[in-house]
Amino acid sequence: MKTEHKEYTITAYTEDYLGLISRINAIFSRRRISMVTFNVGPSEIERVKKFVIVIKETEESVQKITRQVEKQVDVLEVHYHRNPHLSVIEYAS
Amino acid sequence: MENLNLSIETELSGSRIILEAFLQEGIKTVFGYPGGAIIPIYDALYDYQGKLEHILVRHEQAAVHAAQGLARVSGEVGVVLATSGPGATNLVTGLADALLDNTPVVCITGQVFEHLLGTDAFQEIDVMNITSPVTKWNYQVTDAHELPEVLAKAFYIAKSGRPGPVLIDVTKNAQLQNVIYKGYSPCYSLRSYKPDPDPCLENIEKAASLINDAKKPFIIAGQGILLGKAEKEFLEFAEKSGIPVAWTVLGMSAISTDHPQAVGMVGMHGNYGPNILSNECDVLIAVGMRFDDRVTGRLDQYVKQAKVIHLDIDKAEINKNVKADVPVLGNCKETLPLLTERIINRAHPEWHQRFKDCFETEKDNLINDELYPEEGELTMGEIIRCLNEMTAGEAVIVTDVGQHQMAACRYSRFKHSRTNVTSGGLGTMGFCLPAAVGASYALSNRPVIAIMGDGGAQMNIQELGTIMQFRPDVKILILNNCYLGMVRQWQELFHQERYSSVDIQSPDFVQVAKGYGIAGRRTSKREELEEALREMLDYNGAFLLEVMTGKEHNVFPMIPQGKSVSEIVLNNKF
Repeated sequence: MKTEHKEYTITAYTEDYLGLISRINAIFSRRRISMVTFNVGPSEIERVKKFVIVIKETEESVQKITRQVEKQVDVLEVHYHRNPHLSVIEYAS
Repeated sequence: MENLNLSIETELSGSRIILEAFLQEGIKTVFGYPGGAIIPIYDALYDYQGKLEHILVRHEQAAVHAAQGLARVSGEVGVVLATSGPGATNLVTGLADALLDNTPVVCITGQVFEHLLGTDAFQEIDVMNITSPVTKWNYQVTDAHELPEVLAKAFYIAKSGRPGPVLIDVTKNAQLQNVIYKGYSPCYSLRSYKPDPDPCLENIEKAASLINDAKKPFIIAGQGILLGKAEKEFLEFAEKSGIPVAWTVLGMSAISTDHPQAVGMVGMHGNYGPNILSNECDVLIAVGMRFDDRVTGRLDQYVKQAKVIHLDIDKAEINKNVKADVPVLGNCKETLPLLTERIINRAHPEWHQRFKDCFETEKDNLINDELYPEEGELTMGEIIRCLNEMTAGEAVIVTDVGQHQMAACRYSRFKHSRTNVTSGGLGTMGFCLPAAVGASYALSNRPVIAIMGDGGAQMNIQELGTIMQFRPDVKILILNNCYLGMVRQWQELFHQERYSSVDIQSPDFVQVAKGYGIAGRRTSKREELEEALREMLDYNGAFLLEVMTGKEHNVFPMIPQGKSVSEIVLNNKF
């Protein structure tokens, strides 16, 4: 398990439920994890919202956080991935 | 009130739809306190007398604790009604307690009219945002059409999987709104919510093989066994495996404390053997527990030598604090039998002997002096011992938080499951008295004994009023050491006896009880203790017994904060 802080993107698909933004925000704020970005919007699926959250953390911490997000009653599915380095993006383009 | 034929569509108010949902969910008792924004529900309740008993508590926090008491003893959902604003904010401590201790509670709060939301109207507060961190789920209803489905969802979420508190905030217009009621359909599934993960057979095989090869296996029983109603399955597993069984504070009563394999409690004030041998076992089987810091002590020196098998229903608990070598996800009512059928009969006599030896050490150094002192002030231990001799492990013991709680958890005997009710995770002083009121409505036919300290007794003492009015048969035992004892103990041991704000004056509790029409008595004498406890237990109705105990007694053993379980101390000479 890497202990280094890296940038990760957590993507959650959820029910369209009014209180979920603050619930999900609280999972991060109570652990003093600040978000690099926090995006909420419609997903490709009707009546399903998509949260895209970028944080800088260790992989272990990201795994634990992902499970806490997944545990919320109105969350359908959660994934996380390591964000590629800029150099990788440049190669790809 | 006319009887509803649920098969026929009827026009009903939102308020009545809520009460119908309670009936459909089998609720008989609700705890609450009326107020402006919930008057329509209370108005409807007027017509449900004889069907729903409403216990008027004296503070909304107490309503949640009472609902918790009922839920903890009965295994059913506790229900609370409260008004908006201060009524709702008063619920927060109770909700937090229920969340941390996984107690199924459904709270209905009244809210101002929808058109007033966000206007700082009288008794309007943002209940949804205030309660979201202390609930498993919450929802605001502004249209009565939503109520049947939302309530069904609320009960389902509260009691399924890892249980917890749910709050439904209902605006006054929705309570008053008449809609066509098409009946109530309980909820059994939600697409976004998977409360009972399917057991992974591969991991169960791995776990069984570890258990079968183990030389020094050790079981810690958590509350998950009680929540999963898996006491029988657990007993079969434990007895076939022959493994020593310890428990957490909340796992207590999952197995009889007198069971031959029972070795006591783990944790900061747990028994010597279970703590010290945690760091010697080769396989640790943690059943429905979450490795709280009060259990593990210093985490980086906890069970490092052992393979850990962690049975839990909540995926987020796996690897949260202690890395599981073999996670067994699922309801232990399902996973334990799968494990039992794959393990071999063992007895582990030598390993059990180690626990017995440790217990002898604890007895010689500590327990005998606490349970059988011949002189000096009364000890909490001897009071609990004396109580045990009379109740024979048949009573429901409800405790508050602090020294008396640890004494009660260490020394109470429990023969039946769901008979230990205490505030574990949140450690809420003031929990005991209202929780005991609630526990007495669980209809367990067991005496309910509320044991509290002098500090906690005053934190929800207004509930004597509830006892006065509704006459639940609660026996109130106050162990009064004239201090906030646990904090004083820490100040003595770790802060050079600088006793800062722990010297607490109490009223004459017996006189206070008398003011509420509750009989009572006080004693500080060893020779009177047995007779005083007998009087309390035999009294027909609620009774308050205040027992004066040693002012500066400490609770030992103790794992000092930040120390490893191996560094548990038996006295203050460390």
